[in-house]
Amino acid sequence: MLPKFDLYMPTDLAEACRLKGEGAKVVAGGTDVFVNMHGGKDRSDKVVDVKNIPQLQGHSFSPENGLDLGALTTHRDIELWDVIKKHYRAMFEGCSRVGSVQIRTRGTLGGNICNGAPSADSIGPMMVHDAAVVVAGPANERIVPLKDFYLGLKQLDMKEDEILKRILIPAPKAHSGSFYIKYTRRNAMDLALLGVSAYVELDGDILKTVRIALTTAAPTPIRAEKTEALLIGKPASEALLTAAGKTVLTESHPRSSWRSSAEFRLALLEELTVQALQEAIAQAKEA
Amino acid sequence: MLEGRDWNRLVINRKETTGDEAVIGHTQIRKGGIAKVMGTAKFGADVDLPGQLYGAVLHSPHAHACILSIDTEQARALPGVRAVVIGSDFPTLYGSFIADQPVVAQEKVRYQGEPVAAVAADTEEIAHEAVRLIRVEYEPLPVINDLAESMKNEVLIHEDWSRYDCSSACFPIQGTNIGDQYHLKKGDPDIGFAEADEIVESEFTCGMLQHTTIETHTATAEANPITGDIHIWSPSQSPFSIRGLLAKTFHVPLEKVRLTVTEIGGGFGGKYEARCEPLAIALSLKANGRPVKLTYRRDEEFAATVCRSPVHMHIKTGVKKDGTITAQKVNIEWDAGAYVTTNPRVDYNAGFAANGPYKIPHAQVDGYVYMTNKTLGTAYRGFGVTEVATAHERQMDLIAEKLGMDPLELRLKNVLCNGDTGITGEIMHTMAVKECLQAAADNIGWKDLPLHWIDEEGNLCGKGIACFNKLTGTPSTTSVLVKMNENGSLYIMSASTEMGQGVTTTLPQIAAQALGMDLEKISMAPIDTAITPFDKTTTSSRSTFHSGNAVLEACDDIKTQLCRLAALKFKVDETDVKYTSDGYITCRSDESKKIHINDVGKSGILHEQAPVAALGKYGTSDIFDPPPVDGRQSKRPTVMWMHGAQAAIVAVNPKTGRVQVKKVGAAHDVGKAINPTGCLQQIEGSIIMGLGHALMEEMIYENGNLRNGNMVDYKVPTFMDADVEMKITLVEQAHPEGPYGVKGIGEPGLAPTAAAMVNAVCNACEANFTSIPIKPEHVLFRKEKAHAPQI
Amino acid sequence: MQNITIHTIVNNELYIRTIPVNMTLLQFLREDLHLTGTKEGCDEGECGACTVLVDGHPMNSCLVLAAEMDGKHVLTVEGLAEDGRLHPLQEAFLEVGAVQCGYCTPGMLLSGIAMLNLYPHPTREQIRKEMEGNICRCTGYERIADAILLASERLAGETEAH
Repeated sequence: MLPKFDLYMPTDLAEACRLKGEGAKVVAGGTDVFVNMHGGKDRSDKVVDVKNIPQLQGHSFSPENGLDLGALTTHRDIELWDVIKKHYRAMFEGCSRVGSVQIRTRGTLGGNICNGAPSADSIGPMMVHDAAVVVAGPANERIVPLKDFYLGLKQLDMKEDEILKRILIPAPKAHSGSFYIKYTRRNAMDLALLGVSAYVELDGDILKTVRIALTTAAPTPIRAEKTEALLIGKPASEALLTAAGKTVLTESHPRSSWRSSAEFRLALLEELTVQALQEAIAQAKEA
Repeated sequence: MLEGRDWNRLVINRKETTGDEAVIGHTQIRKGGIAKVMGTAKFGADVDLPGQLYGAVLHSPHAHACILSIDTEQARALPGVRAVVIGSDFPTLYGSFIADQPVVAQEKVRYQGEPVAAVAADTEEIAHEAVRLIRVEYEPLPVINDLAESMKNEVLIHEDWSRYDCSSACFPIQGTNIGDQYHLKKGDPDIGFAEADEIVESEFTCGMLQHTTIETHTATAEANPITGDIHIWSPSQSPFSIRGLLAKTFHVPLEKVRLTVTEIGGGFGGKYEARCEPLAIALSLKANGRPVKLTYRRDEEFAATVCRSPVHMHIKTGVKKDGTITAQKVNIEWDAGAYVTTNPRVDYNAGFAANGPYKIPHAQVDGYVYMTNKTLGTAYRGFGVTEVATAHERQMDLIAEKLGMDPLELRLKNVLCNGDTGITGEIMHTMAVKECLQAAADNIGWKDLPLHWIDEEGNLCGKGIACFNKLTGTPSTTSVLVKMNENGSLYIMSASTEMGQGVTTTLPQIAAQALGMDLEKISMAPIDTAITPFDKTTTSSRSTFHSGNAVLEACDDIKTQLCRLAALKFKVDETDVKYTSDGYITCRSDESKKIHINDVGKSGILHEQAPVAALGKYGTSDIFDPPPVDGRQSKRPTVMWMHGAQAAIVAVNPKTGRVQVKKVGAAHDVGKAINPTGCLQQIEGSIIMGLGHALMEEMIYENGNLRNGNMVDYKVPTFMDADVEMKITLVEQAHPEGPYGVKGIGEPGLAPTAAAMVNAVCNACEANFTSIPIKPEHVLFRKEKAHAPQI
Repeated sequence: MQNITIHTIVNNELYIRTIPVNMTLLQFLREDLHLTGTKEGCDEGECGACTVLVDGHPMNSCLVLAAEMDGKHVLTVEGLAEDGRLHPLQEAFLEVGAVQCGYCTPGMLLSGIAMLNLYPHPTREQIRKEMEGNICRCTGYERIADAILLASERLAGETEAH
């Protein structure tokens, strides 16, 4: 049962920004917000449903500019879009493993980004694809690289009256590939105990560009930049990937909890980093 | 398509059947199924009465605390609130074995989630708002988290057992946290151990599980404070036992309590306990008899209903070099939660099953129910049998390993056969464990597989096997009423509830078979304790056996009555009319005079005659040899033993610790498969449930706080986890007292599942895992054993 | 606003209702329309028992506001049988024994129908993936997959017949 609230369903972005500035809770798919409200964790007395705002809707792809995704793009949109599976494999792997079909049908990329859970499955993949978010305020808007969007646990680089409008993801480069591995206890309807996203661009055998992002390895989704630096410019040898698996351990800070020990998460991290890189390289070679 | 899955039937022995019967032995479409697929079946929360209020409960945030004060003033003042109940309003205690549990906490709370106050209001929203306005002051007490802390007896969760009304089947120990104990002794284990060549010891722990029925607990009550009449609508698994409990709790005569059973959205033992019922009654009494509906949310279901207790077991076995077991001692410690509930029965059933279906000349079992500040343990599809099976079957594998024997061979060597002496000194009959073991093994191709191997993907693979024995609760009684409608169709009235297990299909099948009647003409009446004849419980896999026998008795009477009516029509003496097995009421002297049972309605014989109705009864007090408390030796501790075996193949990813169950071969002795698909459904569902228990599911408490009381963090297997190849054999070794030879199959499907999977994982990893669930973390950081098993 | 008037088509019937904005679609169906075939299992989107189709898409009705349903088509289990005939998937569920306690069944049926619309000839793997959001505690799932496969054959047969 949801607590009592006032509901706003604006079609105007500025109006939505104003309401958010006044403390209204922004809801799109409701798959996080309403769960928290049902459980009594969130007792917001104003809710603004942003689904009717045109600037947040729609999604398109062009080979030149890449993806332009409205914040309301659902995980299911991504999962069923052939462009994604072909050019943004990590995003397919991430979005198709969020919750269930029902959740993916409702849950939006904007919501996943703004909820900012360390275990969010879409964020790491978008980070390695160098996504940027367009954040709109009542008067103007700005673009923030997704990797810089998280300031701390559930803390976003977003002002109280700003709303996430769109997500921009560059066009896939030649000889690039990506992958996301989600580790869960159960094969569906589960949160990532750990996740690793990898993106590579190859120049022959040389790793021209590498981006790695870690899910549930820190209080926020993070990039593993030290590991990326280790890899860039070198041939993708087995020994190098093994070394990457070790390096990544130095830049993540998983904690022990009842869900799992930090020791186990680290063991997985080492293994899954290697696997994610291998898969991304395989994708790049096919591309 | 109906029986399209991979299964077969192995007939060992028939009772009065040819295997050629028209109705039994064939899959029949579930009675009541159409309402379920149309969404018109009415489950607990679908009850909606005029003038109904909605209940909400304030649950304790503390696991153990004294209640210093409760302030309900603001809640009472909220418009729309019609009743508020706190502990002092109903200073009564309940419990079917020992009355230790208040309806609403009195003075003390003993687990996180215990009801501290309840509200009834015009809407659910107001009720929950009112609950939020109740202020409670607590003084926290030290929390007893686990067995080790409970055993110290430094803090007593129940200070004085002697204050409670205790039944003769519960044995608490004054001055301790022990709420019940069980002791079995056969022969002299010391002699047996002295005869052994090897002694093997092992420990095993099973995690805390939730039934996680998709329907949560719910009850609607209309309770008149003047007359004491109480009417409950709830998805109660065992209406008569709940009725008795509620009558005692609210100090009203039994007949004043009427329970109408709704459809039940899953039971598994969880809906055997009264959870929402007492609270809804208390609220209705306080609200001057207005009906009150109380439905638990999922978080309340986890925190404030029931679970399967965690349990720690220690087994010591003496064995000869050739594999003959000479003695076995089993120690069982239940971490049973804050109130005793049905734990004594779990302790009792597990105690008889703890040595497995083996010939053991000298045996001892000691079981103890320890109280802890956690939610309440109770029956869970097998009353403890699954847990002890997991332990004794791990032990069998350790013994096999020590002796260098094949695990299957060791089991076959020791398994109980006809004429062998069981654990209570009983001479066993109609045994088929051996056949079950062999069939289960064959179903995964056991003999052609090594114990462990590595597949092409680099996974560590292993096979494992397990069997079990389980008794059904004895003595117990049941009755059914079979009544004929004016058109010749039949109603069966039985309090064997339908939870998905299929009893409302098997009982009509039995009646149809007995009468030679079309199954379509036979319906089950809804269950209402004011109308339906008595049945003890729907537990213990007893329903088709017990109620089936009662149906047969009633059908015999129906035949006699019909013969009498036909005699009037035929104008012959009643002795000149017989009832044939194919359903003809026939005049012996003139066989042209006959009426088929399907045509009775239009034959005219029912017209203006005494209505045809028959009571069928079945009880097991007469055959029961009560096992004395000092040793539990008995010539007949149960009317029915159930047996079966399962074998599993698993693949373990050595890099991530993930375990995949590839294949399960099952073989269960069902006596006679009345509805084969019904049997298969029970076994298939059990295999996936058992997979959850072995690898995924666990309620996690930290200092009295439940950490994972939701359906993401408590991991029930999903569709994506169910990719397990299954092959099932239904073994038919007819029970001499079962209807058409039936034995139970509701719980047995689950009993060996986790055990077989654990053994397979242990073999795959060449390690000895000593607890379930086996998590990837355990697999990854396992200690591989050298050769001798480590304890 | 705290209340809203919605025009919603549920199982091909128009309903015009004024409802509180914090009412979920699940509450609207069960409490306002008394369509209790849709079940509540967790109220958190974690069990799938409350699944309904909104404009053909499966959703957990516990996580959807009824306020959003203005102008939408909702299909619930009560809308599956037509002209006195069960939907082929309902028939298949009964025939293969995909129903036990029946509590997850309405949600399973709706998810199954959504998946058959998307993949008229599904593989067993596709079925598992598409049905992953519906928990069943009784059956072990495989008979549900069997039922979907059987229904897909029959629906294909019907299409051919037309």
